[in-house]
Amino acid sequence: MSTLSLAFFVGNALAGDPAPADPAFPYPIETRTLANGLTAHVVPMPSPGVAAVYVWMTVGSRDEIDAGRTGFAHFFEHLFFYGTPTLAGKDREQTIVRLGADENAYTWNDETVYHAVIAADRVPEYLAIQADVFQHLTLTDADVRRESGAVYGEWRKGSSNPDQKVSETLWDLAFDVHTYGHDTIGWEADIKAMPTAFEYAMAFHARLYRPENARVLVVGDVKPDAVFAEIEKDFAPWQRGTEARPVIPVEPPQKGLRSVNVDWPSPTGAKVALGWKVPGNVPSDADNAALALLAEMLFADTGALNKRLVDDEKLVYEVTGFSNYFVDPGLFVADATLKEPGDLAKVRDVIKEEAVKFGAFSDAALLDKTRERMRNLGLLAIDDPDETAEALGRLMRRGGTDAWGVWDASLRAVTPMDVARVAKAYLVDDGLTIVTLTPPADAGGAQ
Amino acid sequence: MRAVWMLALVGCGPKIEPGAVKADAVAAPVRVLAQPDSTAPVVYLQAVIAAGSAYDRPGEEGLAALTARALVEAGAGERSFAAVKDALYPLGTGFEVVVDREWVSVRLACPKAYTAQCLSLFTDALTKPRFDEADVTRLREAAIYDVTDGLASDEEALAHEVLEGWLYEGHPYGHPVSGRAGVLPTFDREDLLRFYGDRYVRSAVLVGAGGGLDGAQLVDLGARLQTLPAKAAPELVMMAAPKFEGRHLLAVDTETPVTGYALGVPFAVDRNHADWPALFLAYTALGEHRQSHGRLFRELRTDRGLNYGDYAYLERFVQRGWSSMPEQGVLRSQPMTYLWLRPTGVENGAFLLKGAVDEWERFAKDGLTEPEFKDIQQYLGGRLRLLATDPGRRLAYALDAEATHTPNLLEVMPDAIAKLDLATVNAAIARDVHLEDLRIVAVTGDADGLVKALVEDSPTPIVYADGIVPDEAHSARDLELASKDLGIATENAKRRDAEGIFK
Repeated sequence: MSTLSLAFFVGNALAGDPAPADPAFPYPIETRTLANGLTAHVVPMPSPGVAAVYVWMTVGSRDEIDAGRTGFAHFFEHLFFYGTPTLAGKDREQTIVRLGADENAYTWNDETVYHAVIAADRVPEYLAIQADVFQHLTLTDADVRRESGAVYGEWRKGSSNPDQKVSETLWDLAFDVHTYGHDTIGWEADIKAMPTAFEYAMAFHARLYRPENARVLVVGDVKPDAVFAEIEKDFAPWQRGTEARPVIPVEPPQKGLRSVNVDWPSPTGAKVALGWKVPGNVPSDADNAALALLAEMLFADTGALNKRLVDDEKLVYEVTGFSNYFVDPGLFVADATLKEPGDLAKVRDVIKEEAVKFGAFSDAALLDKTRERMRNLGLLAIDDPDETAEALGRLMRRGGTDAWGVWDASLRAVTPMDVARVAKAYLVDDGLTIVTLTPPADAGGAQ
Repeated sequence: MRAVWMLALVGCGPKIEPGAVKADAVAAPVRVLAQPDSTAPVVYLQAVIAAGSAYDRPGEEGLAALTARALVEAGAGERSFAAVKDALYPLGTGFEVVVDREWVSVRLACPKAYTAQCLSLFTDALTKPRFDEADVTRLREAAIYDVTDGLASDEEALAHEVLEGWLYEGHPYGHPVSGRAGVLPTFDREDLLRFYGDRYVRSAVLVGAGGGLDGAQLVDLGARLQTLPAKAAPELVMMAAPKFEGRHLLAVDTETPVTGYALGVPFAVDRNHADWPALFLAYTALGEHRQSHGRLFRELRTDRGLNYGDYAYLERFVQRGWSSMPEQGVLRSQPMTYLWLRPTGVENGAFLLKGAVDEWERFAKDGLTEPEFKDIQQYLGGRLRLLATDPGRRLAYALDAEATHTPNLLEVMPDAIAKLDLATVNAAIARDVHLEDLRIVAVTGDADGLVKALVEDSPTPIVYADGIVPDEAHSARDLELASKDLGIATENAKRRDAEGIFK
């Protein structure tokens, strides 16, 4: 536990109680909810002179339900930097430059995250700039047209990557109606249409960029009372939204195994990916916790999969995987890059076999070691303000303000029987999708 | 037990230059740079070793990198590789190995409660590697994949590798760190043992210890390292980079319908040079890595939407993980200056290059403007504080400085930047940045078309995406750029297939 003291927060317009520090988390977390629904957290931690500022919008490619508009949450992330009536895009750019902020943003299925690391004494000015953009973003048709070229460029840099192709194909094939079926970058045809999307962009902003969908985290060498006062001043005027959020289609249960092969035009290692349908990544969910521990055991470099495929049978360069990262039901994914395309069926079968074996799991000692591992992974991921804000924000997106402690408790509660149960329930052919990618038959490698 | 670690160190390690290592340096204990902080919940153990790929002998390209990886992935001391993995598993950590041309870095971050175990794992890897045969075979195959299909799958990395190979032909920097596909299969355990025996000696190793370890643990660390041999490592004679004249283009043909670039030239200014802080500021303005404020980024991406980003570098830059911050352990005694232009559609390949080179030339000729200088100076006042926000990164910077006898950027740059004025910066640019000689690598889906377009000297207008209409000022400038002559003579423009490039 950190020795930093909690600054007492004196009453003001903010609602909410100061939460005690989470016993599973080494720094104090102070939380306030503004009247407009915006949630803010300040986390003081040792990081001399430096702080991270994250604005976590619960808006991602998951929200892209309109036909022809895949990739829009990410496109909007690009448009965010164009400015306001009081601070035009280029002036904003210069102001950020003068502040010396390391600023960036990213979009994924469930979120768009605007983040910066900055000298701690410059946090108030940076918060004011961000609050201005969230409330008063102004775009022109020309901005939208121009920025669409950068997004197409981003798509292009990924389009020559076979791993990206495998991932994109896997999620597309696995999902019939849920928006996880398309990649965050969007389909190429929709990206090509972005230059003409000015009106849609404005509507997207009005509908989703609202305080009740925002979580502000300030982590580092900061004093909570001063930061909260600044957040209140800057973000309180932001008006709640009036439109309902998009209703995300619910994916019906999968019936039967799905599979497809992708012919890749250039030399590469053959690849295989398996994705099983699993529940949403919710920190309080027991099945989700058991699956996360199962994934650590299955994909660890000490695990049976690595031992068989990498060490003993020497069929693959690497085999990796993860349990579902996302709030809605998603995929438990395993993937491997092979030495020889002829071994695809064999590697696929070994992955299935080793996954299914967890249906008989009973190794309490290994489970305890894995829990210890996950606790330490968490500890090592929070040694600077940027990583801490990222790790905390990600968990909070899935489980709210208390997510860190809730997740820790869920992991602690998992028994070997739980692991066996989730393996039998979810790692089954009915929920399985398989993608293989094969290089040209005559490719001798880029030698 | 003898206390063999020192808190303040005097440089006595090998420099990459001819000359015998002094006898007292050979026998001296392994140097340990300590930055302990008893309140830190994590312990950071790091080593930098003068054993990078420049030490590969001709015909043995890749041996240095293979040896470095095998330190941590082929067993050490009493532990097989499987036992090393088992020991690390509950700790939630793993070794990080960075290999570049001159240096190998080995790092292990460890929750404080496990310090004793990590000290044993870390020092065993450095002093008692086993190089078990089966593990060496696996690592060798992985390295072959890296330089063949692995690189083919990452066209942006391919452009950088090709550029470095071309700029440093016949030079110790002139092959990929991972090696060559035709050479790697010849290495066996004995080769690794020989390389390790030659290079991993006391005077070539510098160790850092930071975060939550105590004095006794530091003493233990120092003692464990003294089993490294006290002998001189064979010297490396580092020749100058080969000279070339004029501008040269190599278009590497791939299947993807995009064109991206890496272009550059060896550079005389290193971190010890008086002009380095001025040029650091200037290059931050021209095109800081993955930041949107750079001139190149604004001109090519923000204003024209040509691609995802365009950046300029004063020394070889390796990105640390997913962050935009620089990796440490990759400093070179012979720097290069270069641009990275991310892929655009093949139809705009020629225009992208012309736009970037024109911007670089204007920078070389006119320097920065007063407002630009002031903005960037103020920017760096904040930005420099962000370079190292955790104790492990601060330690890595300190090791870089100590190992290479260069200033620690974290310590010297805030002052150095604050003291600069515009005249000093522009004088440094005028003195040091010369672009008459350049090597340009394109990785492109249309190599023939690109070569033709660039040597023919006919206009190559920008093709805007549907519906994008530039304003008048941009239209006029676009016309100028489309007709720009890059000065690439026909005989200096070549194309080749990606296949077999690092045989």
